[in-house]
Amino acid sequence: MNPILFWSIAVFVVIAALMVVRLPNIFHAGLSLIATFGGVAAVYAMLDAHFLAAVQVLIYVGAISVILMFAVMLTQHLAQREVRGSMSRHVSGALVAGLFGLFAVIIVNTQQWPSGGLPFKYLQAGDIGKLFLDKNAFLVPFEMVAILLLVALVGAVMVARKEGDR
Amino acid sequence: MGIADRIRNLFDSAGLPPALDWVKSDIVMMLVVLVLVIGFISVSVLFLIWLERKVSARIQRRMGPMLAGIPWLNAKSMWLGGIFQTAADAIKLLIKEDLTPAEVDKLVYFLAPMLVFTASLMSYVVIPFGDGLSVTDLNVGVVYLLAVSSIAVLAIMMAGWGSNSKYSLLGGLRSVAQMISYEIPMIFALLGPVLMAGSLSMQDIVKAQAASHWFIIPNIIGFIVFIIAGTAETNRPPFDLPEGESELVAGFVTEYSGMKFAMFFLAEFSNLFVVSAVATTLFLGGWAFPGLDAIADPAIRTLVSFLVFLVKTYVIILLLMWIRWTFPRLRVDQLMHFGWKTLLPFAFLNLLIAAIWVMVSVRM
Repeated sequence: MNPILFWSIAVFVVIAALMVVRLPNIFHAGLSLIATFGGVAAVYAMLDAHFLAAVQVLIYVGAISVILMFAVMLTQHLAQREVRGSMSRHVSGALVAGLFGLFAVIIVNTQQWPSGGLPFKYLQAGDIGKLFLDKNAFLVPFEMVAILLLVALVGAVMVARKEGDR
Repeated sequence: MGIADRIRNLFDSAGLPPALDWVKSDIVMMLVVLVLVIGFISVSVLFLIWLERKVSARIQRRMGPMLAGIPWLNAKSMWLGGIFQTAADAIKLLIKEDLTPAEVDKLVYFLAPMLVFTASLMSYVVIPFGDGLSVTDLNVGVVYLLAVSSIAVLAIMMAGWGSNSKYSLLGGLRSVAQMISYEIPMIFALLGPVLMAGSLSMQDIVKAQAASHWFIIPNIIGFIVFIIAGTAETNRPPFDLPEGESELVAGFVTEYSGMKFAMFFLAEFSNLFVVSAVATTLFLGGWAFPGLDAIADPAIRTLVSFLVFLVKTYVIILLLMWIRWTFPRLRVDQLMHFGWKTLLPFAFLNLLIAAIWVMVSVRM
């Protein structure tokens, strides 16, 4: 992995992430969020995780963010008002982010990571699919996530439905 | 093997002096391939615009593209008639003033046309133009293609919002809703051939078809779904609601003029080529053709495979143009009903048929 390329992408991702929380205009913040996702996809691609990189762009940039921005565009007063947080929110946000970063560093440094085996480059999309449907691997978590998403979907419809609407 | 490796081999066989070894470095090769691809797109778009005008003129009996030219040429051949129409359009577009409305969101407005073309350009990376003739053969080619095409949605959203105009905003919203809805049947239609090839790499899918048969059998439903969804994804009539002139002036391109407008135009025609190329690759065997292996010389074989690919792609392009100029525009509610309630179930059906086909052929 080229260190110059990695560090320029890393700095880009961090700056874009900071802009998400700092920009007063919510549409611009949304665009920064997409830039962050794109940068993370670039890091995946540099680690030879091509499938993950493509899926990151497809799901996060192409679907989730677009739906998010769509909602922003439909609510006109939100797109034109300047959103500024209060001081207490800034402090609590920074605190939570700092704690998360600290824990992430601790966990990464203390955990024994499995090494060896085939590099990601040789892992085909089909292998990932097989792992998802292998009951000794990820079948149960995969199905759990599917049910969770379904519950969230039904819940969203229930919340959005008007009272007395059949 | 990609295009860059081929150029390197060409240099090696030509006996490049060692002092010029930097020419073979990755960065120089990237630039060379980029220039090649952009050149290919420019020439294709130029040709496609001319072709579209001719086809539309023939179908709807439009006068300009048939008769704007020298009377002697007009009488000589139907293809030479009206040859000055495209030139007149290009000159008009070039000398137009590049206006920027005062109230636009500057950066977003400026970036949108570039991003829309970039997204289109990125698709060309995985298209197999011929036997071993693609920029890179990613082993997740089809997923990459879908991912890249979803960036275009974002660019259109930026154009709609950044223009700060009600027509642009409404056009952008319509376009995004349409593209998200039609992306899903498109993905499921592509899954049939992927399932049969057992690979996501575009070159592998073509090779699998060269070894057996074109994947339009049994994926004929998937092919039709893909052609319809592809028309919708490229915002071409009858799915051009985002720029319906009678309702929205020109939708998300309303506030754009001059070269920025030309970028949207370029991306639209470039996407037309991409959609046709993908349909060719996944359903019509790409560059594969019976008897291609009989050609011994690898250079000639590559050239012939490239020509085969182009001919097949242009057949699809002509089909798309025929659809464009013969159907009236849909209504918004019809569009959504058709996408979710008709196209998607048929895409599922196609996946089911492909799965059964694969299962039966494995058993036999």
